[in-house]
Amino acid sequence: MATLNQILLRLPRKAPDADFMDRLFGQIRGTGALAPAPSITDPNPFLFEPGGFEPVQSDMQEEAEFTQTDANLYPSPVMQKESSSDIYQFTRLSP
Amino acid sequence: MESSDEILVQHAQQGVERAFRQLVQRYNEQVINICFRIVGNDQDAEEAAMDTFLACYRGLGSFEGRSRFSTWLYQIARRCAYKQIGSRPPDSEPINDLEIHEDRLTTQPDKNLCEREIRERVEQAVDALPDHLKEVVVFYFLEGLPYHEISEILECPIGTIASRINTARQLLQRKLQLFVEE
Repeated sequence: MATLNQILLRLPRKAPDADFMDRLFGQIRGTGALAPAPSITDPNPFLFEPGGFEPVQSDMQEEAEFTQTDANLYPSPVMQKESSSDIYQFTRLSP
Repeated sequence: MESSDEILVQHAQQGVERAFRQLVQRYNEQVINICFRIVGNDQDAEEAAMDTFLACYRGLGSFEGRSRFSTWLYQIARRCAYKQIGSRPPDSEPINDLEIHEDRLTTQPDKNLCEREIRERVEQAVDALPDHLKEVVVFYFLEGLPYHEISEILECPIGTIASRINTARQLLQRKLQLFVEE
């Protein structure tokens, strides 16, 4: 006999596919994923290391689509102070 | 010596690819497992995990470090997983989980089960839980996160998290009583 914790920990864990990293970074570089926005606390937000990310320009339509469909993926900047329902309500009301 | 999440995030925010790569390597297994338990199959879990890191990358500039990076990442993973299956994250708590969902837990105790069969029964029992209980099982029992971090991820008071964990524990113990100690 085992405890519930022990028996739950026996559940198999999934491992990412071997090419997960390659596909992810391929998408970041190749399909118009935006470069990370500079941190507001970063004194030199335009500093990019050689060999680092190339900021990729996305067209306005793509950016607008991202804003409309993915806005609800992010927690609020102050973190977890608003409920999920508020976020969805805001999304629905947005034009 | 490994860099802390905070240092890696700062570098990733400045566009240092290897910093973001390290963050992905550090958390991709947890993210995939969280997504898998929510979506229920490998392919959607992989897609949701991919979306999670893309969204994380896009949103890094707005991450101000007021919570742990992992907490923020798991929040995104949870939302991406529900989005992948066209669903919303649960935010309500049914009045009486033990009665409402009893019939959904089909696992029946049986003697002489081998280890693989036991795992299947446990998996069935977890999958049969309602979403708001299943996700506390994932975060608490499977990922080992503390109450306060789960509370932040699910945007619920700690008391609600404790209550859900207790309810999930009771349901699972009842259904798996043959091979689980009280």
